[in-house]
Amino acid sequence: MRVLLLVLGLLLVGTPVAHAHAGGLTPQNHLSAVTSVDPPLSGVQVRMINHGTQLEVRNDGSAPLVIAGRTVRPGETARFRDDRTTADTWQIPLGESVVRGTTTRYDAPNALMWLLITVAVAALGVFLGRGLAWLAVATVLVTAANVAHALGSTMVVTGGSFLPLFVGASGVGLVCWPLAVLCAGAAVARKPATAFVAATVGAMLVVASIPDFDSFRFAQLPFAGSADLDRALVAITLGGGLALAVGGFSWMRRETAA
Amino acid sequence: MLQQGRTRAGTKADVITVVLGTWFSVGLFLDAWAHSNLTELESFFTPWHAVFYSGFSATAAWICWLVYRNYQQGRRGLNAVPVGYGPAVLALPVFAVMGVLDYTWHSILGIETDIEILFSPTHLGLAAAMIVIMATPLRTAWLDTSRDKPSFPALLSLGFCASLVLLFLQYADATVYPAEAIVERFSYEQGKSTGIVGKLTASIFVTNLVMLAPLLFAARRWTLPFGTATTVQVIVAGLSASITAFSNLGIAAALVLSGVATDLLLVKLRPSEQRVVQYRLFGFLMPLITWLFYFGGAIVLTGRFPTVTETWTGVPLVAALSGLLLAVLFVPKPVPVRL
Repeated sequence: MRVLLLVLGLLLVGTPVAHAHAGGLTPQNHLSAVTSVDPPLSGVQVRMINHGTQLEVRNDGSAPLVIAGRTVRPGETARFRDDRTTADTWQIPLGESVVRGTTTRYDAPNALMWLLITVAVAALGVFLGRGLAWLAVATVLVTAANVAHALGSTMVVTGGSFLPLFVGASGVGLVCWPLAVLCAGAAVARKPATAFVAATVGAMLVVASIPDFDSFRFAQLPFAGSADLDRALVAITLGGGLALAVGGFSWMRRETAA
Repeated sequence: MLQQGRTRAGTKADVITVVLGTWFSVGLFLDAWAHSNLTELESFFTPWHAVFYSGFSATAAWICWLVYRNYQQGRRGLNAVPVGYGPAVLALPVFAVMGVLDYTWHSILGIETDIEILFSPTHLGLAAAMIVIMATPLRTAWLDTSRDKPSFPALLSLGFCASLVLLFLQYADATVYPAEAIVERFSYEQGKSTGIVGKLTASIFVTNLVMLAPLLFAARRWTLPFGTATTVQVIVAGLSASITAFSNLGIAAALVLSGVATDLLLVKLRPSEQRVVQYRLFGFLMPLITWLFYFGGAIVLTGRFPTVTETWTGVPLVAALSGLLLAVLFVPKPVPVRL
């Protein structure tokens, strides 16, 4: 058990963080938005997409448009980054018009509160080690939170295919999610392997979610839903993952000691 | 009750290890393809990294399960680690730590898209740990004294290890050249050979060593069954072709055919440490066959011969001589003992 714990411990310390928000989008305390196109252009839509990091120009008009050195022909949509859009108020020429926008700054959330919630969820690990059924139910719930987080962070991305983005956001979820189903099956069959699978899923999800600590520190999250919902999902994944690892291992220790 | 002694994981367990290792390896080759072919990799969180790292996680979980299963049965300490799995148990955390360093490296220095990907210290650390993990079924078969032939997982393991080595020698990988490029390189005007001719020639010699060494290594331990060389060539040529988005399929097919011919040679010669003459003959003939198929494939696919006959006919011969030298080094004459 010491060899196993040592290897898992080192894996826990070191496993690469292959799970976070999709499309390279990151949490931040500001958000840029387009306020107007002045004068308005018929059939032309301009907006900030991908968590306010890219400008999208959709030309459904009849004439080509030039913006930031790019030509957007009728029927085309251009998406690009432009550093000017990070200023408090900004404007970018669009043909004969100007795209105007603002960047709103937000106060960071109470990170300590979210950290305490995570610790409180993790404390449930003490109880989870008492029975395989509890471990299995908790594994499914924690995994569901992880799936919801990956889905929400994928759905917020514009301009990419869903599947590659979802796979990129899922990371080690590709392993954890099937294992959670396996864990439930093992619990129904009352197999001791339930505890091992629960502990493994928990440990992997904790490591995979470490970059998501940023969700507690920043106001604006790249998530297709409320930021607090995403923080709750991250707290459940991180805290619940730790609870599963602790609960699973304490069950295994008791079993082998008996 | 406590059990003494180490146990074997078994062939079924090795099959699962190699299947998960395949997932792991395919992830790496997908990532290599993405680094070589996609110029705008803005994030660490790509589908390719997801396949690669989830493959690693699955392999790690599986190996930990094998250790835990033995622990449940009363084995403690090193006795809980199946025979041949010890180095993998050490390599798993090494790989994981290298993964974090790689993430940090990418975050600070950016994401490599050119040849530097093959020299990044964190990538080299990941590759070394990965080869140790992937070689697990090969080690378990090697240590199994009851077998005189390698298991299929061991052969797959051999092929994947060779392909990983070749991946990190990509700048000297002759298998990635399409037929047209091979014929063109060896059709230079007399007196005007350029560096690119030398590059392909050097690549052939490096690739030759990577392809031949696993077979010479395995032939020292086992009687290699028909299919050994083909299996290794399918993996090596197939994964190398994946980096080029399969633009060199014709040459990859020629190399697989050379694997079939090499298997016939293996059956005929039965090279082994005890049959030194046949072992060295194999070391000479295998490269000759491989590179004749390589140039033959290029000639058939393009419908023309390279114009400089000396080079394209001589290169397979030089490869064969270097193969003979390698065979001599693998199984040298015993040092004479003074009476």
